[in-house]
Amino acid sequence: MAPAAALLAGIGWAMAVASQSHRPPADFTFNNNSEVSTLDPASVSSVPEGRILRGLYEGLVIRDPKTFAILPGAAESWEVSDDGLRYTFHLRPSQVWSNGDPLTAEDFVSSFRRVLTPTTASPFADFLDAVVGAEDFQAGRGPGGNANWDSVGIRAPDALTLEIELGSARPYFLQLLATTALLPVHMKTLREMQARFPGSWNAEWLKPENLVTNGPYTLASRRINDRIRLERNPRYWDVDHVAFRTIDALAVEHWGTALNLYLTGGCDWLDGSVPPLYVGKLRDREDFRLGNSPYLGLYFYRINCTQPPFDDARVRRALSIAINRDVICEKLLKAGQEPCYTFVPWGKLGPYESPLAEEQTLARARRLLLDAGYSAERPLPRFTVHYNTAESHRDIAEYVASVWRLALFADVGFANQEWKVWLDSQNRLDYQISRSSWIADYPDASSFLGIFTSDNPNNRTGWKNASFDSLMMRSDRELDPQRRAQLLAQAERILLDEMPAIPLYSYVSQNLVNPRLGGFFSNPLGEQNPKFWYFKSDDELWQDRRKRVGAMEIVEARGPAAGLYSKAAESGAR
Amino acid sequence: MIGFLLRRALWFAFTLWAVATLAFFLMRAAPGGPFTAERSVPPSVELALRARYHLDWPMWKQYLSYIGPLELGSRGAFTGDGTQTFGGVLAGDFGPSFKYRDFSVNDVLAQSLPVSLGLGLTALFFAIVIGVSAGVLCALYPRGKIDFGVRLLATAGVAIPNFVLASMLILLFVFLLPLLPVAGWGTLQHSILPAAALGAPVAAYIARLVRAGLFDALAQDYVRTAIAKGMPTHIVVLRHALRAGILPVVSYLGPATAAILTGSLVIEKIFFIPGTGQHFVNSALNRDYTLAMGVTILYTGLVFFLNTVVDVIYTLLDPRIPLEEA
Repeated sequence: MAPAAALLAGIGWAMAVASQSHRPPADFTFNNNSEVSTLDPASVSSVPEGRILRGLYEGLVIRDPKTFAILPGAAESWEVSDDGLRYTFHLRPSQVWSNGDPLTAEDFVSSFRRVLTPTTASPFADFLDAVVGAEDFQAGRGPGGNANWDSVGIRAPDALTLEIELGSARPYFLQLLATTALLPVHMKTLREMQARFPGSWNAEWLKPENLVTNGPYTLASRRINDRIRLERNPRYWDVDHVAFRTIDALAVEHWGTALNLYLTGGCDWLDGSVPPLYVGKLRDREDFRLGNSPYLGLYFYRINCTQPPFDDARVRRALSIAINRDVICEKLLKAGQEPCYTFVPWGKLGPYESPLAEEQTLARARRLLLDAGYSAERPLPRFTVHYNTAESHRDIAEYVASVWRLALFADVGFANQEWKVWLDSQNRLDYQISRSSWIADYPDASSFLGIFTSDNPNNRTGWKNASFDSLMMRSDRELDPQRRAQLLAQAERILLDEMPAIPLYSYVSQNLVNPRLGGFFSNPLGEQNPKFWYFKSDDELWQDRRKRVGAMEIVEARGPAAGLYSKAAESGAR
Repeated sequence: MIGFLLRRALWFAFTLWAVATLAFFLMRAAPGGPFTAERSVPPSVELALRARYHLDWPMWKQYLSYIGPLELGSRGAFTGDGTQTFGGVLAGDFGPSFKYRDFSVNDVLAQSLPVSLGLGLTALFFAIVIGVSAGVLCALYPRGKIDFGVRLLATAGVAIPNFVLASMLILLFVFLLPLLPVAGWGTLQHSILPAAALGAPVAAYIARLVRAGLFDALAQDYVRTAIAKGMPTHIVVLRHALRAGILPVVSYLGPATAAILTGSLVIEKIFFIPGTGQHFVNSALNRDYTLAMGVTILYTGLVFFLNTVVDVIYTLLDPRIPLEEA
């Protein structure tokens, strides 16, 4: 009897502990796909962290969720000198942190300084390398042999003015300032925690009870692999435009579980790549149709250009031409992905347009191969296609290999590896052809083309080209959008002629989203700013549905019928 | 008894040390590292990160600093620029997590272990109640329809993997009959489906053990005597035979607990439960050296401890069995 009693007592205890952390559902719940690795803006990059960070902090400028145009954030206005070298930001007066401390230009100076300090180990320090003296400071070089902050071009002449001086112009500098890497952090808390917890301050300052932020939301609670609860920040300068009082971000990794939650009302938005099996079932639902749009991601195969026969550009081009991307998109993926022949997905990005890829005919592929000395009689030596273990990657690799076998007489094998092993092999150039993908850091063609410069750690193909490098460098400093687009196009032309990698398809964003959610825009960076979200009223929902073209299956729009929208929206200011 | 426990404690310490050492070097032998990512960081940043977590030290030094509270350098371990040395496993400090950078491994385990224990204990409770009752039913009505049905179900229960069962339960009790929440954790309702899915194979196994044990016991002389005295069958079964018949179940509880602990990682994933099971797999995939070590050491300790408890209970139930051989 005693063991049974102990067992029951144990269950009771565990349940009590578990239910302590159980809270009523938030105004809005979404699936963030995975646990965020940290809430420190200086050290994270991925999409899941970005969504939380944009809720917690606000940078100098923010992006319009629909157009990506730069909007005022913590800075209400700014001036850029004609040569594009000097930026002057004017902060909103009487702005405060969530603990009531005033938010000043000095906060931005110290946050940027933190990003550039080597011991912070920020992967994004290079976002600031155009700033005068920044590279020297980061490398510990200075006038006296020591790193000297005074020579870095980031200054706060007064509490509300921030000046940034660049050594060479960066046409997309404002876009960099809108990334999560350059959000301000409350250095006072950080220093306090350093003093109080010398061994663990790295973790302490980010705990819900300690974290001080300046964005529309504050961190209420956090449980690993469960949820992050955000609460509206009453001290936020624009709190009247923030609709939801609470937001929950779930960390569901299993897509089937996330779908189950969505279908039973456990969450109102989920994204991620939908398994092809489900696409057919979801295709006609309004909550899926509306959420699909181009995404700035490229699926491609890296080629190890250091080994024969792949050191010959003709072989690489032949391999690329032979693949029929339509089959991959329509037969294997099915969710609206677009065949891609260029290194910038969708072939265009803002003012930029990719040059045309060469003619895609089998005859041409064989011709190129013949020129390189390979034919049916003298086939390519055996090689392997390398991918990280996942069903979709395997399917695509099998299709591509079958094409190369049948059309180019190649003997192709496979090597699939677990994620980190695969990354490691790619870094060491221990592969021949390797599956890859790339997501834009910021909406600009250079975010894709730049990875193929000789010294970029993400190159991982062994391909080097001096004229490509110099074109990329010149484009980085060119302020005239037209001329800049030309330089980038020339650079991409070189890539297309050399084919150090084989682009296969462009990504689409795939969202399942409650039709009642407003302020949500399916966009090419998968970037959302929780500040803009609200629930539409029945009236607005009806209007939106009426405007729509084409038949879709109407689904239940969960949420308060009267809407849950910002005060500004109620007064018709939207 | 005390000698037995002391000997066990010594073995416990040795086992933990061996497992920790093996895991430490195996983890680090795996290709890739905690900072390998699709977007490579600049080499200088990677160096700074490796220095912060002391991955730039020679292996033996990393190992010693992980195991014990040893002063191994002026630059404090795991602190970036502080001076305090990382405690080491002997001091009960598993270090910071590499993947969940805002948490220490101790934090991660403290958050997730009560959840996994809650799930595991509920599953075990479910398994024992269902399994023992089913086994007893079989023994009361041997070779009848009930016996046949229970045996069929038990075979199915052992054969069907828990994730398949989980999907069927979700289909049945969430989508066809909307009774229970589909996923999540926090209330009693949330724990019913995952505990059932996790406990079902164990329940099936227990039912078979109890049935066999009871049949065995019912053939014993003392049971026959009791029946000959005119004692009603159900009392004989429940009071006399069950005491002996349940012994195999008790010895099975050790492996059963291990099965529930390791089986929970799939169930935790399907039902979105923030337990330790997921960390068991994910930490290895993420090359989160410290968390993987922490979970491994914890599970080793847990399984070892529970096995010892089972051995002690075993002798309490049947004094004929000496502890030494258990």
